Parts: sequence; structure tokens; C-alpha cells
Amino acid sequence: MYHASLAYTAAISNPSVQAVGVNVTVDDIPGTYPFDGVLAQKGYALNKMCYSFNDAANRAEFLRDEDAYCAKFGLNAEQREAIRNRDVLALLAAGGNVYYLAKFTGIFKLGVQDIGAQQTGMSLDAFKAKLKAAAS
Amino acid sequence: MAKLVGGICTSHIPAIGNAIARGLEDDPYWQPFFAGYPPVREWLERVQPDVAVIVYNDHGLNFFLDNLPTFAIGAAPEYQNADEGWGCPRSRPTRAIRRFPST
Repeated sequence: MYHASLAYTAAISNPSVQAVGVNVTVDDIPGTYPFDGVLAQKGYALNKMCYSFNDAANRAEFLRDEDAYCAKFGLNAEQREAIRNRDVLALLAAGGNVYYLAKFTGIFKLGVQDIGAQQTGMSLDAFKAKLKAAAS
Repeated sequence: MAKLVGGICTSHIPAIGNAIARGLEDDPYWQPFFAGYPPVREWLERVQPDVAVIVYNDHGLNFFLDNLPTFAIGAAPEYQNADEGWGCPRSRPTRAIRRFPST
């Protein structure tokens, strides 16, 4: 517990290290941020909004007025920008959890494989081919 | 005393539901995956289990982070798949999972 606090303090006070969560920096696992307690707190509003997209009526309301919908859930500037840009990596760093982000990307007919492709910096077809090759 | 006749497992990524909804089971990308299902159906047909205990991931449908049990046991007489956030079509009523009314 003490070491985790030290690492977190060191991480967030070092301007060249972008801390995402406790003991986790952007470069540790490229494209992946373990969803720990710190990230859960950070991303609460964002995940709450994405959870609302389980409902088709809410998805439609979001598309009618994105700014108003995001404001309703109290997204911070980082989260609002990531949503605006449909940027999966930025959404993850802003505390988004993939189970809820999948409901946001579903609005744009993007699936979890599209998320994976963004995380690995590949096209969807290249990502699917990589999965297939790994299974052989 | 109950007799365990077997266990079945499958990957449950949302892409699978999407593939089923769009009829892509015979698509070259999906065919090797869905080829695993018919033998399981044949086994179920042969074995005719009395009870199936289904364990699955909520996928952020019923529980949000503010109210998230490690596991929960469903007690409703019937269940149906959910929208999942991308308009997954609801299964026909005959395919809904039914719970036996008595213990």
C-alpha cells in the first residue's frame, strides 16, 4: 500500500510520466490501462453516461445533442474531448471501462474488435487477421 | 443426488451476437468458430439434461459500478437477451431461457 502510494505520487509529480492509475503509466502496457480503483473513480461520470447507452432512447438523445447529454452526466473536459473525437485510447486513459465504452462505440456501429484495432494501432482487417493467426 | 452430465463453455464476445444477428455464421472468418456449436447441440439432444445452470457475464447490462455484486443468482421465471448497446435483436420467445418454477 505504501509503495503504491509512493509510485503514484512520483508518477503524477513527474511531468514526463503520464500517470493513468496507481502504479500504471501510459507506456507500461501500450493501449491498455488496468481498471483499478483510481481509474474507476476517475472515469465514473464517463462510464455512467456510457451505461445509459444500453437504452436506445438514450442513444438517440445523445445523437440529437451531444454537448447537453455529456453535460447531464458531468463529464470533465478530458472525457468530453475523447467522446467528441471518438478516441478509444483517450477514453480509456480518461477512465473509461471497455464494457461501457462498447455501448458508446455501438452507436457508431463499431464493435469491441474495432476497439481492439484502435488499441493496437491497426486497421480492423489487420486486427482480425492477427486474431486468426494467433488462433492457428 | 444430482448427476453432473457435463459442462459447456463458449466465448461470449459481443462480436458473436453481432455475427448471429447479421447471419454471418458461414462467413469464412466466422465459420471455424460456429462449426463448434452443432456438435454441442447434438450432445444436448442426446443427453437431454433436466437442468442447465447458466453462468454468464453481465456485460454492464443489469449492474453499474455503484451496485456491482461479485455474482448474482437470477430468480425470474424467464430471461431474454438484452440490447447490449448496439441494438442486438431480442431472441424469439421460444428461445428465451426459462427457469423451472419449482426448486
